[in-house]
Amino acid sequence: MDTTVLKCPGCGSSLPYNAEKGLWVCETCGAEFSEEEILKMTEAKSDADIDINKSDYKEDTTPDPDQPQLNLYRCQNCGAEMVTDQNTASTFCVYCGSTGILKSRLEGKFRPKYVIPFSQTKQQAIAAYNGLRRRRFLAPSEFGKKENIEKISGIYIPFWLYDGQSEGYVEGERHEVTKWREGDYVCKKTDVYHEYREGMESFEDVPADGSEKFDDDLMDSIEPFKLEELVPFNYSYLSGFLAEKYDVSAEDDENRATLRMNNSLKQSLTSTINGTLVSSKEDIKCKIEYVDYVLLPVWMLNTFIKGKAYTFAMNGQTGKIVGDIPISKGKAICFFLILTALGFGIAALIAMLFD
Amino acid sequence: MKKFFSIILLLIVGFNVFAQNDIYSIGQRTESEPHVKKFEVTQGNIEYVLSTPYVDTSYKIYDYAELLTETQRIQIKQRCREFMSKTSLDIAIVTINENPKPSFNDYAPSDVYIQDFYDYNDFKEDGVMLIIDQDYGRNRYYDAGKPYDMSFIGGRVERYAENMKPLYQSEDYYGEIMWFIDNVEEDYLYEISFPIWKCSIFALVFALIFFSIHRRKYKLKFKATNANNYKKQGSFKLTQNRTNFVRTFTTRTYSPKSSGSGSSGHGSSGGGHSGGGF
Repeated sequence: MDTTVLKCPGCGSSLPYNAEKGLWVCETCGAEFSEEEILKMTEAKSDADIDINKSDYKEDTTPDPDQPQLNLYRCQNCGAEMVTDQNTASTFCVYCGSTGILKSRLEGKFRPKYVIPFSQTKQQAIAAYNGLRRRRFLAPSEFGKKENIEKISGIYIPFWLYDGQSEGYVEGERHEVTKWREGDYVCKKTDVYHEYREGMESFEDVPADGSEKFDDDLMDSIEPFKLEELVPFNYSYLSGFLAEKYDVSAEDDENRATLRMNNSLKQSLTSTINGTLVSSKEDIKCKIEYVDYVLLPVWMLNTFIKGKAYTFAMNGQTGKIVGDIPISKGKAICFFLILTALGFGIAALIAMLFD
Repeated sequence: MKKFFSIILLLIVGFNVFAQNDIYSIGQRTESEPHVKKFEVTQGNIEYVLSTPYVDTSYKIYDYAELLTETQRIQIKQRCREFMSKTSLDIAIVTINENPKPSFNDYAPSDVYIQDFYDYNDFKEDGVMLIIDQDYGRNRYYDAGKPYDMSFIGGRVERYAENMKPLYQSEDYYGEIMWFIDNVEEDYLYEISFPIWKCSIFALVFALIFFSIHRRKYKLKFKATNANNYKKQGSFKLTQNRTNFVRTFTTRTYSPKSSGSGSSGHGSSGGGHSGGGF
């Protein structure tokens, strides 16, 4: 298995991708390289060249069944031994900071077709996290502060993009109610209609993350990505970031996408009904026509607040940040009491005005 | 001589009967002198005005049907004065044997009589009135002005009807009138008392709503349930679209009018409400 390190041809230092500039910038001499230049460099030189080096790699031969399967690799920059889990495709050497790309984990069926490069920087991710405090005064005072960020990582997360077509029907009863008064009686006339709608609808690039490591809801919440900015995959984009390979296959992940497509078709069908169905049943099936495997950029922030871990994710392309923000119990109680007092004051004022 | 005394006696009895029936009146209404202060008299309501007795509003009890004894009338009048001092409301209790009023729109003759009697005489803007209408065998009450708020007390109409009807049927008119005064007094004093529990409930609901709205700002993680952002433009095709009529049904629910301005439309009843009773 290969580990590659993208190095500056001028000084030999690591050459990470700079999200702000959209270029590869040397951390030592500041030399900048465009996508074309990087592609030429990686094409011209073999994997054995000094820029993209092979490393020694061996599987852990004494796996502990209670522990996740770990792998060792040797950093080509400083020679230190590093440990990764079995799905890591790009990581950092904790000693010298070089990016180690485990190429073999992104080859064959694991080779992504496209990637969206990072557009948001680490500083922007921290700023977005700080910005979550705005107008959220119930958050603990520790929340949003840079010093409480345990870890912040730019990660390329494996996603499946599904193209498919949903087809089926929705049927049910719709009630039309007319009311009128006859003396001391209220009369209600209900006309019952049976509604039947059948149809189909196509969908493109419905995403579902292919990694068990990341919370599905968190990954759903950072949508949408601007998928028109997908570019063909190149290892160079991983430089400076972590990357994962998928551990949930396209077939196993399919249900998440088909459920979403079927729900959308149901909404489209019911929107053609003039009113709401009182009781309904449906039979909608989805046929997946095409699947793409892509890597999408996400900043993951792990924070510890009063001993409890909270995870936030920021879309590395659009900057949308998501996660559940903690609420301070003390502040919540105070806020509720203030609201209650305010409500009582308003009610008392109304009572006095209309007395 | 004997004949002379007989004539005198007849005159005295006749006068007493007349006086008893007309004891509450302080004059006759005419088109030129309708004696109405609270409303404008027009061609639309003149008929209703002229058919309404013009009474001395200090009596409070107007027993035209003579359902009560003199002692009972005095006791009721005394109770009315207590009621007025406690509530600052006006009150009128009327019993009638004959009701000359026609019905008007949704209002039965008893409703029309009670509203006209209160509104075309010089009772206060805020007050209550009860009528025992022997002509129609009905019993109605009327809330004018502030007591109208009591219309919103849940189940008041039903409670009054349930308690007053048995007394009426057993011809305990005194008991019925006293029950009415006691309960209106209690309801009104409750209604105007500072509504601490109402304010508390409002405050709690207010706090819960605003807290929940604010709480939503802290949840930024959701499961995606649809693929609306990924629809292929113009790909939705409706292949079958059927709407079939199945059946129809009608229900009727007893729901007496318990709110509204109470205006009978012929010029009286500003902000009052009648209709309670049985």
